[in-house]
Amino acid sequence: MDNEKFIDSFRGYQTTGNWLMDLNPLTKLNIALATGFISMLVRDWKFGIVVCVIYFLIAAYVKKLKGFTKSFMAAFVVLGLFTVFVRLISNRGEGNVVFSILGWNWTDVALQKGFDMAFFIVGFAGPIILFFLTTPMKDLTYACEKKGVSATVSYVILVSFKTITELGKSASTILDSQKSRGIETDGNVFVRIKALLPIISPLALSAISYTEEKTIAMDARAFSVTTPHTHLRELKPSAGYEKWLGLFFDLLLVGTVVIKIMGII
Amino acid sequence: MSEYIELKNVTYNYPLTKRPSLDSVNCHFEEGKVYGIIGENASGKTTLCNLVRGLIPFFYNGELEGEVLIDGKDVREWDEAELSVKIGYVFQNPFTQISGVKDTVFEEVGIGIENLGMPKEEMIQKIIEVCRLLKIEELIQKNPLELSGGQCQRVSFASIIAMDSKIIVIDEPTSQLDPEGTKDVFEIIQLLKEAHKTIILVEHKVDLIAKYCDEVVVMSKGTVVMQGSTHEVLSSDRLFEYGAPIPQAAILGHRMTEAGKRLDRIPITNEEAVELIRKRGGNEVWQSN
Repeated sequence: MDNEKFIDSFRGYQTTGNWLMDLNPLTKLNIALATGFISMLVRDWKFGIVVCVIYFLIAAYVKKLKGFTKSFMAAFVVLGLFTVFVRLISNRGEGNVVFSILGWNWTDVALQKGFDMAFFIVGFAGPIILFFLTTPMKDLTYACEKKGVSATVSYVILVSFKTITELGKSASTILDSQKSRGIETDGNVFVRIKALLPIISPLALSAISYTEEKTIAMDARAFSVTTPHTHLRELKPSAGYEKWLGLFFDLLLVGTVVIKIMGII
Repeated sequence: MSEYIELKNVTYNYPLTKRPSLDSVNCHFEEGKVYGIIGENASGKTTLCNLVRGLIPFFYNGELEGEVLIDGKDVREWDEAELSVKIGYVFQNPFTQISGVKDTVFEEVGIGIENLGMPKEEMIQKIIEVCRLLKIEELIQKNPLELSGGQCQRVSFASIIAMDSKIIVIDEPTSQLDPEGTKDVFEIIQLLKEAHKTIILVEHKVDLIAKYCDEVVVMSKGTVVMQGSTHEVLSSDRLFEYGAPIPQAAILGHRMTEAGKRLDRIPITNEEAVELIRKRGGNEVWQSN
């Protein structure tokens, strides 16, 4: 992008052109959590399939289908199918056998309960994954700051996510320097553990030193000044309908809780 | 020029240490001058920077005795946040000075002025101005985490300069940089000098100190042992006893004096050395051997 255009982009609000992506981050979080909890409360595999299809449609609409599919399938296979597997193993012969393999009987009740649980998990994970794919952390912290959360808390949250990557790079650098000194770092699990253990203390020390310098650098950038901070990058204020949208999903959640308590679902 | 920072009999121990890192330090820094601080390792240079910057006593506790006056007021009476704005700070590691939360250099340069609550359009103009001054316009769209050491250091300077601090403390800014990066940093220091900022610069590259600084402070074992004009201090043979770095040109001047071929004065820069040797009659120097 041309520098002039790039600088001009800061003069207005930061938008993507997609109304769903441009919803206020807190509205999106509200909807994601409400949807997730509804799915958990219903706890039915048929309902779960329907909502998951909706999640995929939303992911396609916001052009995040590839990323969503990857994360969702990882959650489904690792958590969801594992839950089904545990159910099948722990089944006490309830229900009718629908499949048998080497004496291991899969019953319809076990399968149903397993998939109910699987979709319980991915039904909650789905909207959360979608939320994080459509909402950069910096947007969420910006929205929280606008609601009165301190800039310090925002910074701590943001930098914590980045620090995980930085620590990973530091570990990699230390491992490379170990390798150059002839220490074996590749190989089976035990060789790797043996190589990793000695780097824990230099890694911890470098993290402490890094934190100290980072604190000083942020202090040099007026971090401790108490005047209200302004922002170069601003999100557009919430539209009026967003409040009603959030309320709608909250009411849906409350309604689901009531129905659950009444034993209807 | 008024005395802006003054240290009177300052002694300081970091927490849990027995040996003072600063011992009866007396020195002063005037407005609008560039000061070079030199000395051997562990002579107290960084501690002096931390003190002037207010990190001692606000960040590092320990025992502080004596008076540290900044604009007439003791450092302990200053508001920590106010001091952080008044006195800018750039230090060794270019990578830890990047906030890590901004996606572009443009936003990174503006982080300090965001924290000061500057209105947006004013911020944008300020950032443009500073980027132009430091010649980092081609970097504004880049991710700060993908920059080289020299580029990071320039961006760090930019974010401090944008805050318009009156005094800037710079602690070994080139120690992790290559010669190209070093040249960039000293170009920035020259710009700050032309803008009449007060600069307190700790450096081991004494040939560059000789070129850019108005005064030099020499430290040894936690004490200020010499302070004076750059030429007066760097040409002095007392630097040998303190283990402080000495400009190449000055070493040459002292060696020539020892060899009985004294120059008009001890040079401190290569250009000065060439001029003095020519004046003395360059051929004659070599012929008598």
